Amino acid sequence: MMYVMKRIVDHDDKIELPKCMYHIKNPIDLTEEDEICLKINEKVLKFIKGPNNKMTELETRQDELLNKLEILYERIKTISSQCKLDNMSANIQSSNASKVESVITPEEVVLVLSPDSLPWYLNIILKKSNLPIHTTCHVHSSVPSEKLAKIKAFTQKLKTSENPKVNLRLIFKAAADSELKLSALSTPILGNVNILRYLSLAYPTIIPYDHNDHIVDNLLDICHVLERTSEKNKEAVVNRLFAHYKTWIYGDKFSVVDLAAYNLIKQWRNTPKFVSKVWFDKCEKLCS
Amino acid sequence: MVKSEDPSIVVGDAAASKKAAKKAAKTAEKQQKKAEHKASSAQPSTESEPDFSEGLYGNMKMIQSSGEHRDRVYTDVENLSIKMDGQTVWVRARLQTSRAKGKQCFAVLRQTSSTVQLLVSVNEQRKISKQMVKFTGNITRESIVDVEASVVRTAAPVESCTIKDVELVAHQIWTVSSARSQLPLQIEDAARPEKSDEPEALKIRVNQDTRLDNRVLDLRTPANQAVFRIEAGVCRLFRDILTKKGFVEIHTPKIISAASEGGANVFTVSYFKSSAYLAQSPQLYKQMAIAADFDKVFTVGAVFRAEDSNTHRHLTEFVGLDLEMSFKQHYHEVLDTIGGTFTEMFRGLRDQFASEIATVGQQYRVEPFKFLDPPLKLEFPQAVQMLKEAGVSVGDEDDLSTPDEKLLGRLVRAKYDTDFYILDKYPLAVRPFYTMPDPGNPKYSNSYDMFMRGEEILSGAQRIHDPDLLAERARLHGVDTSKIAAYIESFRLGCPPHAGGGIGLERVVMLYLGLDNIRKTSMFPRDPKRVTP
Repeated sequence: MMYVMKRIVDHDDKIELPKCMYHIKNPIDLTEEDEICLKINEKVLKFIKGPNNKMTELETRQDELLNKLEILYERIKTISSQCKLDNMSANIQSSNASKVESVITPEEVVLVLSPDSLPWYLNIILKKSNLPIHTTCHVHSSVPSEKLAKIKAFTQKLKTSENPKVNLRLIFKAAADSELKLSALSTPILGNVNILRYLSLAYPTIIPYDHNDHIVDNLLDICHVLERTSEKNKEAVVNRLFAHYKTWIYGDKFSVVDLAAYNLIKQWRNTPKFVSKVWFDKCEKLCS
Repeated sequence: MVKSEDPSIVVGDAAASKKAAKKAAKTAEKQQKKAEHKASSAQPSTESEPDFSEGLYGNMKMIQSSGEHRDRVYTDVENLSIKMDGQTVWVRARLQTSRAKGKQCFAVLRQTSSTVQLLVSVNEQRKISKQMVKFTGNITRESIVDVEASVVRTAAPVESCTIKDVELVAHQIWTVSSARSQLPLQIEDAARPEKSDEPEALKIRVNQDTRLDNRVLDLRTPANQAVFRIEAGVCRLFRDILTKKGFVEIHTPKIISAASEGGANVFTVSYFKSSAYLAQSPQLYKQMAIAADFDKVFTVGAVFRAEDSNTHRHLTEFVGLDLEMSFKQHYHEVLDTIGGTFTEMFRGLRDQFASEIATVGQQYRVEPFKFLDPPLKLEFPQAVQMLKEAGVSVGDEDDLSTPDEKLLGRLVRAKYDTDFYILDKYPLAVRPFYTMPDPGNPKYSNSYDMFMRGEEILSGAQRIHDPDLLAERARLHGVDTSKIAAYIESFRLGCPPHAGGGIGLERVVMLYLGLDNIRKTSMFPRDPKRVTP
């Protein structure tokens, strides 16, 4: 050999060939894991069933509390039955009204309106509500100065009371659809007709609304459409609205439909001929 | 410019010096090539025709008020319009950019926020030579130039300038003051809108520190010009509205002997043989002015707060607009006056500075400011209730933290659609010692805060004007009564009930425009890390 060199590539390593072609897990074998599981299970069972003083104490305390609650419940039952006997006759109506009103009286209500959609329906509520309402009015920065006089004329006539239970804030904003907001987080009620539906739930004695009558809802929807319809179609829609008209738009009593229609028609500059003047004057008297 | 450094030869480091030598050789080669190129390009101009526009362009002699050209009438760039088509005008403006190509040079002239296109093209009749065109192309950016030109209607509107329907065709062009050739930042980059709609637009922006280090250049951008004009408007409206309401402007001292708000955050100055402090607020002096029968006062001046806060809304020195007013029966008289002042100020800004607000809006896209008239007034328990509904609980006698205030701002905006509101009847425990407690509920006080876009801008209250109650409250707060003896003494001389508050000018402008950092609305801001320019 001329030159002895270090071996660079080694091919002499032993290559282990596999003896088994396919390796499958033994399905029958009880593996070690299960044994460990069993051991833990035993320990837990021992722990739960064993004598544990704290647990038993808790149990006895719970039993005592439950007994006390039962006694209290009996007492309240007797007291309430006594009360019922006293108050049954006189206060049914007021309890109904106060029940409803106490369900829906948020402390602060915000009503966002466009200056072209003044809330004439407020007058009737402010007149007849037995909960004092304090109204404040704000003009939003988006309102152009030409509308300020109109807004001022309306707000000056609004009644407001001291020591209120409910604060009502009117915000006049340009080109806004009417919105009733009860809190910052909930979705507002949009549209005058829907606001009236809500108000009739809050004041069922002032604004009668028969929920079960689908014709009433249909008429309210016609009012909603009338608000958004163009000048040309107004007469046709008004005729549809007054289809059942006798003394009032629907039936022989003042209802939410009359209020919705009156509020809408009052926004128009001139009451058109196709609207009954008699009916309009009746509504005007109620709402002034 | 490539700078060639002489390689420092270290004994024994042969490899390093070899590299350095190679570098030096390369730079020498480059420079040689440049010189050759310059020489070759310079040759044609020296060989060209004689310059027939001599006397119509060049660097003007330094204006030392020697009395020349006093009859020259200059026109402002913003007044150039189609009505002046055909007229010859003199304009002094800055050269924003120039682009020379052969026989023509297009340049953009800028004066405050208005820009107009300038065209210099070779023309024998009008005596404009190639040399003049070349000279115009070589004027450095941001130099001030005097141009005599005719106003010409453009065939198509110039999109890149604010004056779109006319351009200037030059007759004479003179440099009044040239800027150096390498500017630390480009005005175009500094004025580029933060978020661009076009996907192809350049994304180069200038970072805030660079802007503040080169404030003189940065202030030339149209947005900054507009911001500081709006700031001037706020100050002027504040003065005018209050003066109309019968207020008197006073100026209070800034070098004082004792800290007013609370000991920690005052700057100390050496005052002859002892030391004094820089005023944290004009509080004490406003009240003394009321006790001195001035009835209704306001003051505009610097306020110094040594707070080590590096936030987007704190400065160590800012301009404070403070007011104090005596009232007859209820501090709401003052509260309504302050609220009314703000509403009038917002309305004044909206009506008189609409174009400036639009200019700012082009660079920093922001929603317009909404407010109600009369301003929305909520009480502290109501605010706590609103926050509770949203899942944040605030204790009965706790102050609102900054995140609470921001959330409350968003809730108020969702419910009432206003960016400005007043929060009345804060808990007594979190207010300074001179705040008058609420007569109906000792846990609350006759104090209020005002918020814009969810951030506090004003803190005010009815002040205690009875010296005994004041001393007692000071003791309860652990304030050393000997240090404020003079202050308490001024109430022993008969003082009417009064209330007031103060706002920071920069913060109000920042929040009105909806900007994100107070350094954008302070011309030369001061904060814990910056004392220059």
